[in-house]
Amino acid sequence: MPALLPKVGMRQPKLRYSRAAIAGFLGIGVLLHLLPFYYIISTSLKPGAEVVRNPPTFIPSAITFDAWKLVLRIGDESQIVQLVKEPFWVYFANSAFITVIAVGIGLPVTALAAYANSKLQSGRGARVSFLFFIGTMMVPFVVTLVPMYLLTLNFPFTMPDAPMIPGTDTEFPTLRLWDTPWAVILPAIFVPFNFLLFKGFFDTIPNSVINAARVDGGSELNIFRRIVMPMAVPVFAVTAYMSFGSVWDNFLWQLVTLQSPEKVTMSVATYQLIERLSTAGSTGGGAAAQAEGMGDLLNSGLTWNGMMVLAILQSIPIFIAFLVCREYLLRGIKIRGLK
Amino acid sequence: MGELEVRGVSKRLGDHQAVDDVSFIVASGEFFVLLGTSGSGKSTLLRLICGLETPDAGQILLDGREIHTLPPRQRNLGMVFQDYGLYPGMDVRGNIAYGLEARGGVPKDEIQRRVVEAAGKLGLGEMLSRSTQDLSGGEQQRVALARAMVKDADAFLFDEPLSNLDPKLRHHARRDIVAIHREKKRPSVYVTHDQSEAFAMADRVAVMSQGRVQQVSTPDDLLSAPANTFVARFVGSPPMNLVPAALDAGVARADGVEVPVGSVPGPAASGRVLVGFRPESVRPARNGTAALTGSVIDVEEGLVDLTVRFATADGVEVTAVVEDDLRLAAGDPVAFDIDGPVHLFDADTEQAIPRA
Repeated sequence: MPALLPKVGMRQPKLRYSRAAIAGFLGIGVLLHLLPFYYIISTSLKPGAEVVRNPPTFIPSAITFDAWKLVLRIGDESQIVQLVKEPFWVYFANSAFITVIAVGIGLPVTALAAYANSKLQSGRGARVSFLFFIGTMMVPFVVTLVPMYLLTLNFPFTMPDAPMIPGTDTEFPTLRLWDTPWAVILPAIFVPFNFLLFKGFFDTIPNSVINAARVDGGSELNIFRRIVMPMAVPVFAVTAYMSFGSVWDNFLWQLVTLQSPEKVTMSVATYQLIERLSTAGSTGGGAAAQAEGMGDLLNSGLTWNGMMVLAILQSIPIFIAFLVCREYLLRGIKIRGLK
Repeated sequence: MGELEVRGVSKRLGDHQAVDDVSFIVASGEFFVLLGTSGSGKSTLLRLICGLETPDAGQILLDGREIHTLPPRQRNLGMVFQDYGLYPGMDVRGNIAYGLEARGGVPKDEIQRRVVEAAGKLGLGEMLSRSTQDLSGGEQQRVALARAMVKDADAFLFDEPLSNLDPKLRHHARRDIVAIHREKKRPSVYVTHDQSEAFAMADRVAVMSQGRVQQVSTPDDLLSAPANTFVARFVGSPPMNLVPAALDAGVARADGVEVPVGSVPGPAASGRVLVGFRPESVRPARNGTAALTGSVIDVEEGLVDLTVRFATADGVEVTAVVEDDLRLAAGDPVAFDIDGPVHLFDADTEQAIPRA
């Protein structure tokens, strides 16, 4: 384990001061990063009333697991039924399904595309397809949001009605992806940034290695699986981790495409809960509805501490993914200038 | 066992004719060397044979079957690359075994037996589970060799396999390659730019230049009967002297040049020619009439001999390698005779003029 700071010039007093200064500065940075985590955890353990106290407390006056128990019972508890319809593990499972499928299909597809671009194409064709793939990175998501939404309604067409098959009076068959997990999975399969990482790595493999394997009798797929993949393990770890995080934490696209309560993911469910918490009892619906909403809330005892529990639950898979990939991630950071 | 035939093969790379209508046949058990400078098309020709490039024209036949349309993996060739192309993620065993495993059909214990056998022959027996990245250059080269020989390949291809080794190892590796070739008794094609390699190993040599085969013959014939001026200039160190002259009644003459060449048949009998002779054939003139006269440009002293460069009256440079201890300085007048074979080349076509 290398030292965090190099042990250079420890004997020189001036350098020792500057070392201390650097360590102190970095220490402040670490604290600032850890503070939100502390606040999330401590809030999740506060009693309901203390959560909304002003000024906020940093150290809980009493530690209680009420919020945790409550969240784990969402869906069973009649009072919260109106806030969220399903037990929270349904949302968790939805997120997990979408993420696992998207990463499981997406990584091989992206890696093979990058391999093909790096080793099977050459010259102008390789440059054009590379620019095509990378070009998709330059279009902001908000620009494609609406067209993509329209696509999910009547895939593969963007118009509300599919065109007629010429010469017949039947429409082209279409697929309604909207409000299915595939609306979230399919756009997450090809990740241009991962393509870039894979391509950068495959470019470093000498052509003679691939050529030797070809003459040796390997088919392209066998060469990829037996020779290229073992070398690319760190890159697979980095891209798997980043894909996992981006799909699991994705919110806006999932909010747009998932509607049925039983299909919603963790991030959308959490958002819906927050929304109801912050609007319930405040605006709209008349005095009676307001009072009812407020009553639900107070009766359930679910406030921001419950949100914090959900936030923690949502972070856990990412944290596990990080632990699994940690060693390779550090190597991967050295390979490429990753953030 | 089958022979390897290259029949009228051409290949353009970009706007450069890399291989231009090349034909030759490598017999089974023959060690065939493609010799040429870089850019002469010899490596491209090898890539055409192994299938990494497809020919624009012509055919490649192995054992009578056309292989130029097959992908590399179906051609059943053993090949050693210049930078070896070892598989970085695998240990030595995996590297040697990959070809057998990838093709399938060979049982596991048979693979194991053959890998151990091939590794043993090349002194890699102790290194089977080591990573190829930890091996020295010579060891890596032997792994590449073992990988090529472990298969029952129909032909063997070598793409300058020794050029990354230091001279001492090179000698050793050369013997390994020849030993494998003798054992396998298949056609082998060996690409090199190194004449001494070609002469030491080859049964026959094809000299290549600008995508064309200039001459195919045994190493001895390359030296004693070059087919054209390119081969004459390329083969041998120092290369053959080529002096322009005019034929006149059995004597090639120019200013300061008077070489008796005997009778020359055919239309070239009185034309302009290039007179070719080896620097080693040049001797100091003993009597009054000298074949070559000129003035010394410089003198280089070797271990046993002396290399004299001099210019004839026409300014043509001639190199002489003499054993005598001549005391010469730049600018001294010299007179030499030729004591050895004299070759004649047509001055226009640069092709050798056949003589009785």
